[in-house]
Amino acid sequence: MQPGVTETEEERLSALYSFRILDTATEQDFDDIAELAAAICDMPISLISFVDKDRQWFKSVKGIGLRETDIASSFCKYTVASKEVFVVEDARKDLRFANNPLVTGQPNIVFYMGVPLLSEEGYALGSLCIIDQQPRQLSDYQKQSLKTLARQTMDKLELRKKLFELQDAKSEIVKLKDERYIKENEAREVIEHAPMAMALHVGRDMTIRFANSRMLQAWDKDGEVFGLPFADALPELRELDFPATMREVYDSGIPYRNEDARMSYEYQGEIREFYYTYAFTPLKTPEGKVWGLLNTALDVTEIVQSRLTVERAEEQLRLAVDSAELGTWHLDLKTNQLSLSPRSMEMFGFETTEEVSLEAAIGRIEEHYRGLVNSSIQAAIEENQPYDVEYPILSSDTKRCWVRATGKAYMVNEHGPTMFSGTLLDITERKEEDRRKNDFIGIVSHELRTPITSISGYAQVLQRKAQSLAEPAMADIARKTKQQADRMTKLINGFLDIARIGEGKIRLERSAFDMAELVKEAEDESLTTITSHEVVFKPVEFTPVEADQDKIRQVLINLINNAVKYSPPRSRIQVACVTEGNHAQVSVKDEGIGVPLKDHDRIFERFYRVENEQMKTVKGFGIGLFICKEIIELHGGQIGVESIPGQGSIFWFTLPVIIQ
Amino acid sequence: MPNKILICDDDEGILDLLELVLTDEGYSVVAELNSVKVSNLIQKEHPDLIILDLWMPVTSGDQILKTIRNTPAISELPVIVISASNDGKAIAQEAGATAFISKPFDIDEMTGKVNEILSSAQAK
Repeated sequence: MQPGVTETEEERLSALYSFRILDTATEQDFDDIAELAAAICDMPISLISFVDKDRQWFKSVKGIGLRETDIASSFCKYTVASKEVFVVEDARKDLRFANNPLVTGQPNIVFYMGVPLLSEEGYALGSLCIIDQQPRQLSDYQKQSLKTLARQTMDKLELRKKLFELQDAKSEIVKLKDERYIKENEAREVIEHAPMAMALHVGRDMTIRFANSRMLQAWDKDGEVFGLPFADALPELRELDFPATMREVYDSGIPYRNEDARMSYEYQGEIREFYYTYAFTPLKTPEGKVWGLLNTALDVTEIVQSRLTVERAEEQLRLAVDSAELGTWHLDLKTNQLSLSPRSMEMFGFETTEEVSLEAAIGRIEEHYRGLVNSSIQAAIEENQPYDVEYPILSSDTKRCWVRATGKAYMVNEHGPTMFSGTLLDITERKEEDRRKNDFIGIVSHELRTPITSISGYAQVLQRKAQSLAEPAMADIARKTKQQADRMTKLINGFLDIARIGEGKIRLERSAFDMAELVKEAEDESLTTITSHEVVFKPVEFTPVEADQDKIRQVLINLINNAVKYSPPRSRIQVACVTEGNHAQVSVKDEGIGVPLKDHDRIFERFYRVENEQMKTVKGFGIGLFICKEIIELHGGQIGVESIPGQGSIFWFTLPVIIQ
Repeated sequence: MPNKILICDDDEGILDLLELVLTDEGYSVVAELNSVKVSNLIQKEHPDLIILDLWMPVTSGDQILKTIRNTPAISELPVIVISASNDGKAIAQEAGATAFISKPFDIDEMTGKVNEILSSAQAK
């Protein structure tokens, strides 16, 4: 164990550190003391030394260039250990120091005298020492002076320490003051920056202790109301019911909350209407005594007003829908959830409490129309076309309800629309009327056919007889009579077709066949019947479809005949059938008069005819394309025209192909 | 002996026309307006072919046809059904018609069909 290291060494070191002197800059007053010590004792070297754990550090140095040395070569540690004046008269002759590097080398210590620097608590922190390179003797006066100087040094240190403590205390006070400020203002800050109007009331008269700017704005007041009882601060609110409510909360200690409450009061000079969601929360002492109220209020005027606007609009819409006896429906395309209004449920013949899927609803539609409805829905969703389709619903075994369904897909995201909504209108009566009209047309047409059969037949007989009698003029008249009878037959057939379509009586007799074959049949037929035009049939690949072969042939022949009718003799007509995706597309291209753009959709309507000079020379009732459209749509296909007037038209239709 | 054809149609114009045309064609024709009498006439006249209109009052053509098909002695008798109705073809086929001709018909079509049926019946 080294001398000076005692059990209290740790305490001594901690005392030393408390003076915060180690490794500080040189200071004139300490340097003055060292200077004075050297001068009084007439020594070349003097030091103010502090003995640290493993070094001695010099605050002031006179006569040598060192600021510290290691503890091993320290003389001062003996002074510190003894806590008394420590003198070495000749270090070279002292066993403890003879080999000390400070003795054997620079600064070649021979004489040493150290006076301990003792703190008020009695710890020796270091020493004030004087050194010479030759043996010396000191007078009592000199020794006494050195002790005084050591005390002076220590006083300085103590003073420094006090100063530090004072500073610390001061910053502590500042800190405490800050904390108190924060504590005092915390609540106020929270209230001020809360996203709602807040006020703190104290006492039964609801004196306003504090209100944030939102609340002041709601009151149309400023900070002047702080400290005033509620009734005095806000006389304009006296008539409203909440001052009484606040008192009730104050008296009962039970919180109160009111949502979307309507109130009108004078605000900025005029009576205005507001909606607030507000609450009064009683504030209690730990003993449960109410001392104040926290008043929070959220201005929901805009929200409520816009909600009311929406509600009113919805109500108006609902009334309009109800009075029109419209049913509404809504299909969520993400979940495939179908919602039907009670009126729609009624039309479909569902119980109002039933859960209805899209499939179940389509299952109620008359079988022949399901394809049309499905493809219309698909077109509305995938191609964003307006949905507008008429179909009969078998709402029960005996009840048939005709509806017109309209709708639109909307709320489109990257995957397409997400919603599909619309209305249902009961058109049973209109359809009934249509049916009666069509029945009439049907009966009339049917009745007309019989005499025409006779006329046509007799004309043929007449023609034969005239020929056998070599009466060519008579034979020609008979032939012409037959021709006119045939024309009439065609017209009657057209009317019958329309009557059937109107009644939904067109029955598809579907079978699987190859469109290539059907086109070939049309080719054979046109070769024998069409001599005025060049009809070119492009080769058709195997195209399997499931359709009513007769009716599709009827459509194709109709399109070819139209091309003949509306294009100049000897011009070319091209017929093609190609598969695109999962549809076969049949097209008939002519070099005729074309169709003006404005008529592109309308030419497929019943009885519609393009009105212009050229058309006046062409006979027709405007039913052929209507029938074609009905047939194609019943198959779930589409029909259309592309045309440049004067250059020609391409009439086309599509049919779903059988996926192999 | 010429083949005998029994025709029944409630429309006099058609009936007369068919009688005229088929007589001209060299057949022996029995024409009847009243469908109720057809059964008796078949018994009495033993026709080789029958032409029936579909829609006739009291007894319709398809009813007569079904009766014929269900009567062993005459079940093989060739029957041509004629009708102005578009549904006629399906009804006629279901009832067992040998052929169906829609009204209005071409008289060449009618005589052609009659000749064809009778000559094939003869070949048997």
